Amino acid sequence: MRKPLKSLIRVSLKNNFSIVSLRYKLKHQDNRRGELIASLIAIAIAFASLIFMYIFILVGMYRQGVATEQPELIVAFGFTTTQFFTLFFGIIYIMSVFYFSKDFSILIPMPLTPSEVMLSKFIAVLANEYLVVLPMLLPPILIYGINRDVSLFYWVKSLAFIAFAPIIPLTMAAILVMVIMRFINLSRHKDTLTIIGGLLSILFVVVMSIYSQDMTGMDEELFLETQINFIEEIGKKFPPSIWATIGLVNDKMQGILNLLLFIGVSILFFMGLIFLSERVFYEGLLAGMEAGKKRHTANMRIKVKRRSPLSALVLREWRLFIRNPGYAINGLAGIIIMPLIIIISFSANGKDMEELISLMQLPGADMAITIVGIFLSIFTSTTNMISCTAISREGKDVWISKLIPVSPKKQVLSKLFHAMIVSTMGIVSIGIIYAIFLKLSLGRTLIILSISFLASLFMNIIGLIVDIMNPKLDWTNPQEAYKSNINGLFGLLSVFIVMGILGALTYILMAMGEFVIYSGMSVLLIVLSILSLKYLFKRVEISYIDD
Amino acid sequence: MIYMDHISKCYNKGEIKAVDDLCLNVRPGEIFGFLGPNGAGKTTTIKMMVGLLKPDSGNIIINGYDNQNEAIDAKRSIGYVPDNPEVYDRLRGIEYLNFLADVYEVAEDIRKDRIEFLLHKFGLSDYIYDPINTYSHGMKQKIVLIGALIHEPAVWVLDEPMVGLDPKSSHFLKEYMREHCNRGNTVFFSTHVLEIAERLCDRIGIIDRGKLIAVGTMADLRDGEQIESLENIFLELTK
Ligand SMILES: Nc1ncnc2c1ncn2[C@@H]1O[C@H](COP(=O)(O)OP(=O)(O)OP(=O)(O)O)[C@@H](O)[C@H]1O
Ligand SMILES: [Mg+2]
Repeated sequence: MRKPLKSLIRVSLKNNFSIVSLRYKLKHQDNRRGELIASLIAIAIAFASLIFMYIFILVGMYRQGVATEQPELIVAFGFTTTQFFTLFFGIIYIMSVFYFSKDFSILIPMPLTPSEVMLSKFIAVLANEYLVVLPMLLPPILIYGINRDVSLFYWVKSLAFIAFAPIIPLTMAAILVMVIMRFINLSRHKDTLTIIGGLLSILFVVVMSIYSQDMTGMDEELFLETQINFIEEIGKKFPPSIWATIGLVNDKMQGILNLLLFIGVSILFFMGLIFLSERVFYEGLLAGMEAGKKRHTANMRIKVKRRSPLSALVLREWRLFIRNPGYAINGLAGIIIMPLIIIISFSANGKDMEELISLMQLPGADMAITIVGIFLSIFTSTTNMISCTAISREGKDVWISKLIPVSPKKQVLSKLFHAMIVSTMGIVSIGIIYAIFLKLSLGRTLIILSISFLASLFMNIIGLIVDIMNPKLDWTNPQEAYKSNINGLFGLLSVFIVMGILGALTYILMAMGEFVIYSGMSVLLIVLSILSLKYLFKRVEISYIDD
Repeated sequence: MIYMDHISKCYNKGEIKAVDDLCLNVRPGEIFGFLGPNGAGKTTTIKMMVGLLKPDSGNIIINGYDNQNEAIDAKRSIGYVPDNPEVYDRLRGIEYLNFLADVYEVAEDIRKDRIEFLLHKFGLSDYIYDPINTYSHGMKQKIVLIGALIHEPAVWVLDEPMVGLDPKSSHFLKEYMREHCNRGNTVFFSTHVLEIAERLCDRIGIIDRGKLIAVGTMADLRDGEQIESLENIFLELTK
């Protein structure tokens, strides 16, 4: 490896994990140290509970696999999900790191080839992917290995498979993104196209995974009945998973061949990426750096239109959000994709649909459908991370907010309005589509809409509180405000906690009838919203004067 | 119009004392130049004046309003241009100006006249419908400058305003500063260009390592010695 490339990769990795600023914070800022430790503990708890759930599912799956004489089922499952995950997040991630990083203006003039610059970015992304790959792959490999009494060779091979697991999907994502950006960036409307392209690639992956989930979702009897070889089915959808599975569990020649095949194809993809980047990477990148710009005739009349300060603030929030492709993709993905998932999964298989309709005739089905709808709608409208990054997204421009003569209260209110606009879009889109497909009455639809509105109000307030306590403002790449912002994680975590509380409430009130459940939820959410809003207003006064 | 009373500011829990017990009174009708070596504490002082930083101790009164307790009124009186013009990249120039005019509650017809006048003077009219991320450094500085003046604030606080401006614009800005002060208002600006300070300012303050080491008119600073240039005085004082 060339020496400049090596140091470039080192800088890129350091930057990626914010090592420098983390070290500075630990050394110089006592108050930050406490926060950091608290964050780490929270992450550890969230992480541990996720892993626990995952292992729980895996153990069940292992039993099922043993029962059908396909014990390697969980290994195949592990590889498939890991690789789909890598592909899915890889697309968004690669797009933001490859095309929306600010440091290209420094990197491009350096004596480096396009593939070297691309590689330094790619490796930083890859390093992050391992943080996902390890916890996803280790449990199935361990469960299988421990239960099957495997040879040492199994463990050695597993290291190689873990190391190579993200390569194929991530290079696929990178190639896809590079080709898309090569064409999108040539257009004047490239911000809009970037958003559409990003959403379409996510949708593509979602659709693919829905179809492959048809397999995993199959229950045991059906599984035996149809005599489908599950592993082969997965293999048809995504061959590398099957190579990895056979390569790992088979101790004979076939295993070694599959191992070599897996590694070989990974290397081939990687070479393909390097080859391609040499040709198209800079073209897309450089075109992307010149913003689309219309020439206006001189002496154009100045258009002025007066708005109230509050509506001017909301408009600013909206424009800054929707015009940044990275933010827009993340914030709108749920709203667009969730309804599409409903449409696809309901129109795709007629047999399931019939079954569902007959289920809907059962007494009490309406209530179950309504409650599921409420939770689905809450999930869609509150996982956009808009409120919990609202302050962080201002970044270095935050001085403008601190300077203008608008009370902190009004400013935070404008952010709440903006978050509520996006949440409401999600609620309405999912609520209506859900109601149409499940033939819900108007009354039930309104119940879904209003309860999820209250829930998103409360969670958006909580998100703002989370972000105000410790906004991440020192970013250079806008993506950092979303992706590497601990507040985003806290925001999501609080969404899950609140959903858990609502779930528990539903369970407790179940016996008392539907009406009690809905009013119970509404009252709880209204009270919580009022209390948290009061706290938010108090808190924001302090934060806006403080540095 | 600007009154600073024993203000101090430390960074990193007192490791760096950026501003140390600074007292200063800038009067109506005065252009005040703020000089000092790199890292002396000019930007820190200015940020405290405009409310971006909170002083560790001391009070600041702007146009009669305490900038902590009557923050909103104090902010209305200030037009501020930072040393580094970071603005909303994704907005168009006109959208940015309209946004500021909205939050400062400037009436429609007044803002139109002002925007057109300032755009013309700074030669930015042709670019006003372009997104700010297509602007050059100097153009960004101009749009920030126009935004800062859109509500005709009584007190202008400018951090190195001439850096990056073309000669025509910087000439206009200097004249505009004078006009503004002739109407009984105040301009406070920091600069490294001693010649501008010498010619333009009614009074000058020199800060070094957080302490205000000299304040006064050029005549005061010369202290009788006629020939001495501001450069010599500056070099002598900040040795
Ligand atoms: N955010 C910060 N964190 C820590 N220290 C800071 C910070 N900002 C400024 N300082 C320190 O405070 C001191 C004063 O800095 P300041 O920016 O006010 O200087 P300045 O007079 O504006 O310099 P210049 O002429 O270079 O603009 C310097 O020692 C600087 O290192
Ligand atoms: Mg400075």
